[in-house]
Amino acid sequence: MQISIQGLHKKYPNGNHALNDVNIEIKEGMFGLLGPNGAGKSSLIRILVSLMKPSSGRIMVNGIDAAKDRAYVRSMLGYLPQDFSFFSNLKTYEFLDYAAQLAGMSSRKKRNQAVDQLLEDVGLFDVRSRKASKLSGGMKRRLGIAQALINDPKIIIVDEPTTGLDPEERIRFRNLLARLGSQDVSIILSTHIVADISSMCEHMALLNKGQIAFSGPPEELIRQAKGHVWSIYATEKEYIEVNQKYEVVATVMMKDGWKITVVADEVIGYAAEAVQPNLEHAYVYFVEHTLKQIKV
Amino acid sequence: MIFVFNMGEISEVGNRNWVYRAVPSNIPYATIYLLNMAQAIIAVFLSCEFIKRDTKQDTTEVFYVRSMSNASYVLGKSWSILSIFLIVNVIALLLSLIFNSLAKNTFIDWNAYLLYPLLVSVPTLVFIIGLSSLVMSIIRNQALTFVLLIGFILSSMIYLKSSYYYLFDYMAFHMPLFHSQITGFGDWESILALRGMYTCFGIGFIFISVLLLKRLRQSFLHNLMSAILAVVLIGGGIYLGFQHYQRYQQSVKLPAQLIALNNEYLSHPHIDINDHEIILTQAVDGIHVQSKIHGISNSESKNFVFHLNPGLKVSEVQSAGQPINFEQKSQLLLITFDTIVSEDAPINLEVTYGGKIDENAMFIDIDQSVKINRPDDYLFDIGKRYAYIDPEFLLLTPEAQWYLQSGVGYSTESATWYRKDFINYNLEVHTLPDLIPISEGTFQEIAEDKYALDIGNALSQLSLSIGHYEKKSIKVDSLEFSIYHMKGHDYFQNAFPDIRDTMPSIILERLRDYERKIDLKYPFETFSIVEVPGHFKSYDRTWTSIHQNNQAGLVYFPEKGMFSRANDFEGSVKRQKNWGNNKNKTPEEMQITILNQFIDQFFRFKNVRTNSNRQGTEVDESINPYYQFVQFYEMSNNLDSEEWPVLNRVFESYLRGSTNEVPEWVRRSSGSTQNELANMVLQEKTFAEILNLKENQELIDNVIELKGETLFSLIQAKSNTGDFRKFINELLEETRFQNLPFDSFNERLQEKFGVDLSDHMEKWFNEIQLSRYRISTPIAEKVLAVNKEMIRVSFKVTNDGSTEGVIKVALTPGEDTEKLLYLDAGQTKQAYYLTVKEPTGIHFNTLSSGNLPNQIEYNFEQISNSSEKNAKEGESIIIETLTEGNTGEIIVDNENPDFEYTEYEEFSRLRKWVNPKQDKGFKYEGTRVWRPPLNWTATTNDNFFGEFIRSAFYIKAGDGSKIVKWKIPIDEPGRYDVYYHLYKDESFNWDRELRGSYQFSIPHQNGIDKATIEVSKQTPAGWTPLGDYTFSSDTVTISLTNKTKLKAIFADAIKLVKMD
Repeated sequence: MQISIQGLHKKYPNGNHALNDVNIEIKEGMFGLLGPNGAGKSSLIRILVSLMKPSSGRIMVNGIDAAKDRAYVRSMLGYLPQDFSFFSNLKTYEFLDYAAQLAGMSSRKKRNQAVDQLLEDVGLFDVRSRKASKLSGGMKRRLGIAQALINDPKIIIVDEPTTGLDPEERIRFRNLLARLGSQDVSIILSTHIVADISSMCEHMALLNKGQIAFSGPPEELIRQAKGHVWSIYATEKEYIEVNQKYEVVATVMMKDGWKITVVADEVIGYAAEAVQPNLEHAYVYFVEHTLKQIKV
Repeated sequence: MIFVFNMGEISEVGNRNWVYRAVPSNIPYATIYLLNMAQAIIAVFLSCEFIKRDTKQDTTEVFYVRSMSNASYVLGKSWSILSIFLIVNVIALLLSLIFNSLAKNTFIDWNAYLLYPLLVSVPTLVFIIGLSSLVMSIIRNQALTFVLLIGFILSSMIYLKSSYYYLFDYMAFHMPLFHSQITGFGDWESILALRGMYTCFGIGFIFISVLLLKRLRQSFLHNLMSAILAVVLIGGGIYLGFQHYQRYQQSVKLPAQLIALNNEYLSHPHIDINDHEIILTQAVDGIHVQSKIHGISNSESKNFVFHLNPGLKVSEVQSAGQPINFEQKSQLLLITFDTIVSEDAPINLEVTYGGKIDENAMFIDIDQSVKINRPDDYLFDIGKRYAYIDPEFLLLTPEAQWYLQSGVGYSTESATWYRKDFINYNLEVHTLPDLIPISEGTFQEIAEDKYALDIGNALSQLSLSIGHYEKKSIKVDSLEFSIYHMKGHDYFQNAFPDIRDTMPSIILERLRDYERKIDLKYPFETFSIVEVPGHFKSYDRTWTSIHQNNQAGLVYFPEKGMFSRANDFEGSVKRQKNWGNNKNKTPEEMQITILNQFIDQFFRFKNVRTNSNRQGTEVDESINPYYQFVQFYEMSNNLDSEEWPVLNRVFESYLRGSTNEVPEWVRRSSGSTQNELANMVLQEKTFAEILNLKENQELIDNVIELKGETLFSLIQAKSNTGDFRKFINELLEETRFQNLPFDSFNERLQEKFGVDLSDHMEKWFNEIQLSRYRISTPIAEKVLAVNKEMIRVSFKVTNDGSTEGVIKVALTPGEDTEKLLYLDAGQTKQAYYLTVKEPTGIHFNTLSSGNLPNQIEYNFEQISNSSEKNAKEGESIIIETLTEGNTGEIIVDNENPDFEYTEYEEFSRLRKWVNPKQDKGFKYEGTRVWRPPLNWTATTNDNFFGEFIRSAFYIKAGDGSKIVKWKIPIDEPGRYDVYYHLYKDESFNWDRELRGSYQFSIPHQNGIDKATIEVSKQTPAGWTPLGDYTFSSDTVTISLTNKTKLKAIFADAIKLVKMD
């Protein structure tokens, strides 16, 4: 599976340039698309799932232009949008069955098997006869992923899947996706929650203001941030100064002052030591520091 | 709803409506019809819902990313909605099928179970799903879409209705879809065009919705196909609609064109046909006719005109073996001889023509709105057909102009177009295999599928039907009664098992009774009831009372008599058994009753329908198309007057006599009969003027009847002998199957009775003739007449009008014939009638007069003894003129200007807003005691007091705030007895316990008295004393309030009688 996004632009009629020369290569496995709100993730996702046309540029799927052969791309797609409600009168299994029909599964027998299997996989078999709209938030999200998985899609695109879930459900959901990612499919996970990427994705892209700020393995992003993350031990008095001068990513109150983790190329005038960055630090470094610098 | 309907109308426990079981395709039709109304509306909601869901992006996006084309998505959605409804249709039809299979005396028409969902439900649903999707896709606002579509549905049902011949009737709510067991649908072409149009539009709209779907297309090919199909289907729909519209336009325009042509050639010379030989060959695609005409020219000319249905094309005209020039202009055939033909010269013509009948060229005098008008008799419209030429069935009546008729047809220029000639017809018919022809007379098979008709006498018209007929007949007293029914339609065969032997004599006896009643003999040797499809229809005409259903010696009767429960013999047996007072009836007696009910259909003059609405009750009277009086006169005689062509109908009305068949309750609820309305109109317009009021056929019919009855009754009364009717009957016998010219008739009349009818005609036609009568209370007393005890009924009558008049008097129970009493203007007569049988009452029919009601009934409370020993019957002119009251009596009636009442605002604002112009119509309304009016409302009844108009005002009982006042002028002060003319409405007949009072306020010399009349079932009606009072002023104002426990209060008349 090879998805190649080439020179993608999206300009809305209101002048908003949502995507600006986006180029990404995506292979099998979990691919994380990280970026702050308004970075253009949703636009990219909507173009990827053929709900929207790009202004220019193209997406090649296994060497085939997705805009020219939507049927090919759609036949491989499973999609779970961020906000997803259900037809209130359908039961859980009916909803999946409906999705299976739309996914082109015409054999009732095969559909039933697939629906039951998927319900089992996502842990919803016991509530199969409950109305979909009566499921809990986590269950709904799992049903959402189940409908995206119906008919064995090769490309699964999930948009902000863990937003609003409690920690237990979030972990459960991540595990579910991770299990899928180990199969021969590409899972594109769009999120603004760094932990989602760090725990699951082998590759990622960082999107900011419509542009790709980084593309590669998360470790590479972390590596690039090495030497740019500092712990400053600040007194009560210095605390305000540090907050004003640097991009603060974490603050811990100590016995005699504050331990403030900041992202910066260098720290002068304070008691500081370089620390090993994690993905969150790297993300902040890229978004708030590197990109700003690029622009300057 | 469908269950309740089936239970009520079809099941054994319900109404067992014959119209459904006689033609069982009506059972699934009714079910689909009812279901369709509901599903047409629900489909809008579902379709809008599906588009609305598509606007909730996140939900549908997961489906939009699936691999399917936009077309498959929208079509799949539409199909899923359609399939839900189709399942509902199947369930409804299964329900219907259960009732159908359980219903007795019917069968299951499987085709109908397929045809109706296909023709009604599918196009309706496809169209509304398509339209809803389209509108929703464009405006993307569910609420607005609902409003627009529900508005469209309601306007198509209520406002557009049958406009442009059902062009906007997407639900087939108004369109006739009755499926005859004989010929199927009435108008396949329109059904296919319109249902096809809506299906095309529906699918086309769905394809446009595909193009408008807010989703990136997946398949260019599918989108292209959708665009092409949308264009093709909508184009196809427009084409079908346009074709239909053009056909409609043609049907609207053609009659006017034909009339214009008739007007143009009205005075063109024509041939008086004496003999007409017709050889008709039935073909799959129409008829081929060879016609030989023998007649004489009516004037010297080379050119002569005939008329023929414009659908039939003339190929050749010959005279004496030589072709002659002809031109066919629409319905007119104009022939031109090489040389001038002198007047009265014999002419022989041979004309060959063929084709089909254009039904738009029939009944060209009938307004299109009447033709398309949907009667409210049944759930759905049965539809109307006037002629049939199908491979399996043919029906041609004279109106179809299937044979050459001399001169032109209906013209608006002059009534002289109407020609009724008695012609010797000779008909030979070559049918398609296995079909039987029926016409007036008897067909003999002369070769295989070739039949020759033996008529035996000249006829004024000829008709022909061909079908899979079977004949059942009985012969009694040289008369043959036959029923020609379609194969398998002999459901009546075992209907009268216990009177099988006596049935012929019962039928004959009914005929003889009727002959005695009308004093005319049945002129034919056969009487046949011929089954025809249910949609066969004809209309009342001004110039003839012959409905196309009636032909000489036969009546075209709708399949299995579907329109009347009297033809549901098995059902009638069941109903008879269910009636409590039939418990002791033997099967024979019940079967006789049922047979009589069946026969009654042919002796009932009018069909009366009532339609109640907020304004009151409308009564719709129409001539019963199966009424057989036409056989006794119109089919066999003709009083021919070129100057007054309507005279023939007028004469017929006289012969038919009073047909006071409108039940009393109709008169009570509607306020007046059509006959009375006719009477009222005659007081304002001349007969000639009324005949031109084309738009009110019903009224014209009644005026003709009333005028006819009045004119000839007057002549009969003036002839002053009992021989008048005998003379007429002999004359009719003598001129049977011939024309009787008016001049000869008048000459004979003068010879015999010295009465010149032509003296009357001019005035009778062109002047308003007003007579009105004041009749004294009749007295019945026992007398001796030639030593025999008899009852003498006497009364006085004054003609207070400006013209001579005649009244008909009959004693009830009415075994004696009616008596005529002639009165000159201003004349008063005293009349004495003797009878052996004790009469209960006397009935006056004042005919065309200023009396309202024009028929007055008196009941004799008692029969007194008289010392008269030499009583005689007769009438004498007396000097005394009857006045309203007796001497010394002062009466103020509600018709008097001294009667006052106050009107109150009764309508709600909403009702006013919805219907700002309330048409009051006729002054007198019906008496609805169960729902009396909130304002004082005038109503008539012969039990009210009135000099000429017996009327009263009535109102709903209330708190006493609504009052009427009689201002009574007093000539001299003094003591008076005060009376009120009390009327007791029908509620006293039903409610024994009903009690209440009339409360009056009577001011007198010493103050104001509250006088009360307590009314109960026992209280006698009429003049009721209110007490005696001393009045000193010159006017006494007595008032009556609406405060009572009764349902309504009637304000009629107050009488003051001076005490000595």
